[in-house]
Amino acid sequence: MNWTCDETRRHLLRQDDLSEAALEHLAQCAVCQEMMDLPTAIELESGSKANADAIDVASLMSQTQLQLSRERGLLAWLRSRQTPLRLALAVGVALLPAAAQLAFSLRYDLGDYPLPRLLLAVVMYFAVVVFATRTLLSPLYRPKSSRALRLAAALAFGLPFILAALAPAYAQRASHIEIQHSFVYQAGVCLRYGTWLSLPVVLLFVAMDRQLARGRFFLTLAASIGGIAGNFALLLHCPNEQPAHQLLGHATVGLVLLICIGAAIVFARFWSRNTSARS
Amino acid sequence: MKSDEELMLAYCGGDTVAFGELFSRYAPILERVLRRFGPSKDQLADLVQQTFLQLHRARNDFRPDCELRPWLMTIAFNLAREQLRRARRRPEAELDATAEQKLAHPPKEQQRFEMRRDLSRALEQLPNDQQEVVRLHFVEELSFEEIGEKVGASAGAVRVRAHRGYSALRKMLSSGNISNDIDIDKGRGP
Repeated sequence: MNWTCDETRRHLLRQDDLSEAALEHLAQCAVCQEMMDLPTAIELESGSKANADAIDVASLMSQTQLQLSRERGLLAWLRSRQTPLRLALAVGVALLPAAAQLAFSLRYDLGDYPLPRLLLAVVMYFAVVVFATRTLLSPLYRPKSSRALRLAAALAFGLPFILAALAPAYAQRASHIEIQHSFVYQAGVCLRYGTWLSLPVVLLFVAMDRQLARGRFFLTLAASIGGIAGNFALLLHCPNEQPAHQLLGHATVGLVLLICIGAAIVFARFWSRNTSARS
Repeated sequence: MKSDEELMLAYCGGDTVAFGELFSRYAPILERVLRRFGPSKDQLADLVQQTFLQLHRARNDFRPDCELRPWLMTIAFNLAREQLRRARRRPEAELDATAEQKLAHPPKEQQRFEMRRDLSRALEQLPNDQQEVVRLHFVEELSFEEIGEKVGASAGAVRVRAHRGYSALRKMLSSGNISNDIDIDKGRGP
């Protein structure tokens, strides 16, 4: 804390290099927020520029009000809900695919599955979904720690791989699907199923976020939560316990979602560049 | 005059005039504070606009017992941080242009003197314990631990004093309510 207080003060007094650490610190330090608003000699350095470049408050206000008037519809309603409600909704949505499996398409061998292992997986998925959702949808008026965001992204992305790499939960007989179809085919079916189930979860998370443009950690985290939702559903759906199948067909759901998001962003950028070039 | 919190509550209740009042009060403050991070004019306007958009989206989270100012500042700093992160990934010439423009406008000695005088006078009007801490922190650039050792208090207590001191200084300087009876040189510190 003190190092960053010092860093912030140094920035203020000497106008050192722009510092992201200083901004992160400012978002959580009331002392530095007050200090930042004091006039200093530095302010004079840019004083004449500030006067020349001062933003037109009246015009900016009318632009902002115009932007606010567009905040209508279901998405705007979702974004403006109180944070605890948004979090509860988001966690509920992330668990929906698993709940749907539980209700409509439960794996036939669940009775043979060791209960402690099942409970462990359920508790871990649930805990990581809650932690990651809380980090992802944390409102901007709260200090944001980039370390927490990285930790949540790593946990949410890594957990399905860790669980998939474990030894099979119990000794199984080969099912008729395993006998009839190749390993790659089976993995492909699970991957497609998990991805389709979790794609709406990711879209809803992105829609519920209050910010417009977000960084790679946000997108990795959103895709990873979707990946967990898909893996949770596949745990209750697919009876194939082989680590190779779990790794290729289940754990990679988050990765596929991330690739889909990346492709969507590249396409959107390409589209907007082309549109602006034409106009 | 209504307080910021009263205006915010009125806005949460649907009073759009209250939003306009809040915008008029805080847009110049945000502009001044965010300018220190060197954004271009467009980036600065965008940051201020985004801050108020976030205020709007988070309005139902606002609690009557909270102060609006730190709430809004935290939003602004978090947004500025993300913008900075994006700018790092895609460096734009605008940041360099800003730095060049800054160099092109040398400081004015008269303004510098007036600002230093105001700051010194305001500092003199603080209670002794706050004045000492702010002087050691802001002028002598000691860390809170070092100040704590010097004044015989914990780093936490020193932080609280500094916060109160900076808050009082800001209020005095923004209201222009500074006594003129103080010797400027006394305010410069040892």
